[in-house]
Amino acid sequence: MLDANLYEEELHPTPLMATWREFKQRHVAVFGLVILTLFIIVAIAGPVLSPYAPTTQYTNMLLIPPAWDDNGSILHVLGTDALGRDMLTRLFYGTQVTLFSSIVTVFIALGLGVAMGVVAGMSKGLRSSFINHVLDILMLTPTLLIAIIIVAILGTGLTNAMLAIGLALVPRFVHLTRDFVREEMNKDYIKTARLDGANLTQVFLYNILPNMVELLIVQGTFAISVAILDISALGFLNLGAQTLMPELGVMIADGLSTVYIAPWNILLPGLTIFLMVLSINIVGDGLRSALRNRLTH
Amino acid sequence: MSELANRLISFNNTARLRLLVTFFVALFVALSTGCTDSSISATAPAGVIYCSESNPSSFNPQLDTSSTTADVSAHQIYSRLLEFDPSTGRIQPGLASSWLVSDDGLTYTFQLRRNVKFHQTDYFTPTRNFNADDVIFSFQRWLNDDHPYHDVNDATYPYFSSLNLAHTIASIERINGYRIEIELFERDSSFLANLATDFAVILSQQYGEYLMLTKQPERIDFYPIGTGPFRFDEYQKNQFIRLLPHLQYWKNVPLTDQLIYDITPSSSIRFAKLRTRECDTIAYPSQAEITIMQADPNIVVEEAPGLNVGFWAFNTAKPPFDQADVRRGLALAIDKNSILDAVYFNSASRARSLIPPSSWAYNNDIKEINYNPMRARELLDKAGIAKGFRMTIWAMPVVRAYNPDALRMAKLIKSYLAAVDIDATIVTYDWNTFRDKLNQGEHDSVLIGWSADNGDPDNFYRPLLSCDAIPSGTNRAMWCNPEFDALVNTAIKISNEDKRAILYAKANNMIAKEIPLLPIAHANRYQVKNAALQGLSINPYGSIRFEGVTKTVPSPTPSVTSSAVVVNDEVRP
Amino acid sequence: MITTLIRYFNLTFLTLLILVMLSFGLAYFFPGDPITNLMGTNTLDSQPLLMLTSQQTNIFMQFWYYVQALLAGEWGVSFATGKPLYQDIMRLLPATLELSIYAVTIALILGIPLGFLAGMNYHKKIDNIFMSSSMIMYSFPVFWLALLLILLISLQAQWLPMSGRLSLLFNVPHYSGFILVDILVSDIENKRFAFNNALQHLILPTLSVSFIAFAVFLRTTRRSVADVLETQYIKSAQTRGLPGKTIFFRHVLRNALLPVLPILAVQISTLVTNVMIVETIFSWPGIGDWLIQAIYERDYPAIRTGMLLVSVVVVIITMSLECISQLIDPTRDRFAYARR
Repeated sequence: MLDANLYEEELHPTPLMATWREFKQRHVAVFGLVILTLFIIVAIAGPVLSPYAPTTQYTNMLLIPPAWDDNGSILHVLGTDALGRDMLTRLFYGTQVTLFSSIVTVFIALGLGVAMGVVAGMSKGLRSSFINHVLDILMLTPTLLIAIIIVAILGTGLTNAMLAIGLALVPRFVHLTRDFVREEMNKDYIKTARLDGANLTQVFLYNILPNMVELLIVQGTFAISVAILDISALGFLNLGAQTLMPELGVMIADGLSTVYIAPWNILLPGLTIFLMVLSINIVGDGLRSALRNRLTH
Repeated sequence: MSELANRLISFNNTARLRLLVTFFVALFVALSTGCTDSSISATAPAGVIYCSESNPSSFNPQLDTSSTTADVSAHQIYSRLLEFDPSTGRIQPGLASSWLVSDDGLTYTFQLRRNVKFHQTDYFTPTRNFNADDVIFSFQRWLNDDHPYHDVNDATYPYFSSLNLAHTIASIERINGYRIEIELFERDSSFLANLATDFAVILSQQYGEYLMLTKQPERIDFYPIGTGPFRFDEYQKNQFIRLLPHLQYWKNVPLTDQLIYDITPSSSIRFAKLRTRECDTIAYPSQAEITIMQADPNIVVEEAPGLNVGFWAFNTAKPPFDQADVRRGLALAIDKNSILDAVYFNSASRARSLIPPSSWAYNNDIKEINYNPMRARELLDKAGIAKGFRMTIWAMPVVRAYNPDALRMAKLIKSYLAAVDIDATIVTYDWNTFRDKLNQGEHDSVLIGWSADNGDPDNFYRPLLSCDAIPSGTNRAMWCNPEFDALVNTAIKISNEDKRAILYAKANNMIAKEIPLLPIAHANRYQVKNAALQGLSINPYGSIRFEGVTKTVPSPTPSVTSSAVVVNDEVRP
Repeated sequence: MITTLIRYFNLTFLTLLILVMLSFGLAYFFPGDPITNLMGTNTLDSQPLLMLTSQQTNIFMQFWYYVQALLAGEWGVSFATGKPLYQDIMRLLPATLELSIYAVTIALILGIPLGFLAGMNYHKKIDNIFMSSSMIMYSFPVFWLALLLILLISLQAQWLPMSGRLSLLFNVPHYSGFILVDILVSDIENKRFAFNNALQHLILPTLSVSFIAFAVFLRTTRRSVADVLETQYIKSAQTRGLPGKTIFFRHVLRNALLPVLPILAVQISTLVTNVMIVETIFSWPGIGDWLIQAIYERDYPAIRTGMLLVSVVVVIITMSLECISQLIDPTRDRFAYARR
């Protein structure tokens, strides 16, 4: 007798598993994912992991270089800044602040953008074109200008910076959503659903959205990296987070005043931002390739 | 697809690569013609660049006590009747070639120097030499409320009003074209010293008339005309100021071809520019970098004890800071030594009183406040200050000799106050906005200080803590104590130094008891400059002087001449 | 073609109008008296401004007079300096434009050919090298990159200066605002030295900005080339036996370049942001540095007018690029920006 179990063991991977299998094959992407996970762990568990508090000033140990330097000390593995605050701790808290604020900003921008994009994609005519136009202008305006205006109206601070960056990111998601929705609306399966009696909301929630999720995840990842760069740039310029908050851009600006005798005050926070953004970009790129290729292999 | 790409590549690869390589080589060649090591200084035209730390509020030091304004104009654009010798502090002839004081000390007669010429620029040409009319014009501007220029540019004259000179000077008379007589109401042993400060500059009366005629009186403070070694050429806010040599300067000293103030607010960038030789000397070098500068063979570091004090002033006009116990409690909460360490990097001495130890008015047995947080908390409780009390600490945004980093000091103080359950907020603005708001009394406390304008100890007491100094804005503690005023006002009338010292000792004790301000440090003054710069010395009695300063430039071609302009061979006393 | 032009002209005009309205509206949103925010002071002596400040005008008339004032060059005065904004902005804008143009040019000249190279060698070793390096390059925060360059090249090696456009000892009269042009047309002595000096000052800021832009252009071109290579018409050209050279120049080149143009348009706003940030680090006397100073000093007329100017310039350039790409390829749907 032939063993009929042969066919039952054939593996039909779900889309998620297929994506992961594709993703796994690119070693660089996995490496990026590992680093990103490390950052996320630090961001969540930072306060528990860090040896000191970020605002305590050890006034007898100012400007100590990192431990591998001759003048360094193992007590402060990555050195201290000009006020005697431990660098490693500040990096942990800084990662937390920067990463979380970027993620929150992108989530909100995503939510708003998708909502508006759906409305724009499903409707036609003057209303949609007007919204589009305003959003286009928003998209064309340099992010820094938007931030300057928001700061002029509302004042400085991390939340206002997040608001400004969020505003700058919304048009991107609106476009994405609107293009996607428009394209999908012409497809057969949507027409079937509508013939079945679904109204627009149900069509969106149950048909379009599941197909859109992956696209949103990829674009959201890139948006997070952009948000990190922009929020830290605003922190650096003192338009976002202010000088007493452990935010990575602010730390770089603070370190400028002692750059010649203590360059690690600039190098280390900048390196952290760089690695965070790089790992997110790698993961996003890997995801996108995986999504594109999962069906062809 | 790879097959297709292969076919396409076989053409593209080599040709494109070749193109790229040629491009990069060309780029490299282009860049390397511009990159030689000494090309920054050897090919530039002659001149001296000074990195200053912020914008001047105007070009007339009469209107402002800020050292930024004085740095630009006091010794560059203007001269005054008397000058200080920078090494001894003695008073020397300036535009006044000689002077006499009457026996009762009330009448001062000045003989003015002849053949002194004012600047000639593209906005004004003088047609006469300096004479007594200019002196009268300059003095009456701030003395006389009805003078046509008194209110021009909303002028206040903070230095003069803080000393109440308007009520000390009875009259100024023109005896003849080159002789002036000044009468005082009462004796003032610091009067001559006050005439030699940065602020007592001499303006051009002819220029004043000209501007009145052309209905542009406000230009007198922004397009200045004086008798100093340099004349004004151009100013771009936040960028630079360019001054050119006054070819007919009355002193026979070498002057550089161009004097540029490169406005650079960040102290570490000023230092970096000194190293890359984009600046020849810088303002307020950071103490932290002094050791590195000393190691660089191209940089010369000079040090001199400073006549200054950095302090933490409480706004005694605002409750609860009007209670001495509250102020004392706050003062007990902080540890001055750690501030000296963190902010001054041990290049300052701990201040026990307002006046530095190098002055003859210093008394050694002053009772000083020591770090005692427990006692601090007790006093604050007794005065009714609850835990979690909120106050503001205003930190000045600019660097000064007496406080190189007010922001850092504020952060340190904030953490000390947090340890006694006081919640402090740090406030700062850009310098001019900051001072405007301080004048309005918006602060609870402020970190600021004072650099003396002359060697007389009166210069510390009256401008900082007398009642008259409140409207002029130099009394940041907003403190008005009639007993204190009586002490210092009596002291300036006596010429005997010992007797004055006793009065000042009483004043010191009063300050230590009432604590309108907490003196923190007396900073050493440093000067760092490019080794090629000649003739620049530290001026402890005023702002920087560029007359006689030249730079030796190693010139590769004979056409680049050395940067000295010798002027005006004869000077008749 | 005429219809496209007219359409884009209308679009641009509408966009500019909205921007002006925004600039006007901000005077009301910013704290303080709106008229002072608009013009900088309350004492003015030119016709549209007088009408502006008179009490009887309502908000629509105010807007109309504001537009008139803008077009007449009366942009008000700055809170901080009290000087007319027009002169300040006209002096500073060319500096920013100069930096942006040089940065974009370098990024394009290097990015597009290398992007082609990468795309043609899709997934081969050269492509992978380019992809990894370009990803690293555009992950840099631009301000950190600028600081690194200063640390290494200006301070450590002392090869290049770290601030300004030109050594202040050179007094080059203002002609166009573009420093290289101004030096060449001026009649100062040591012209060659001044030119060299200006080039040296240009290198680091341009490098900081073009570093990131180059990476983006490279990736975009590569993706576009890879997409084109997969299309049916290229495959059919190959099966027909067309030589590689012909296929490349006649088909691949143009079709791959086309989607790059709109990407370029979107990248301009990022580029301008980066230029503004770099200006503050290098003390480059441009609009970006000036605007950031203005926000520190809460100089509302300056902020509003500066923002308006920069947005107008960006919009005009972007719209022109979009118009051109629409003209070249009418089948492209204007709203479908190519995915990255």
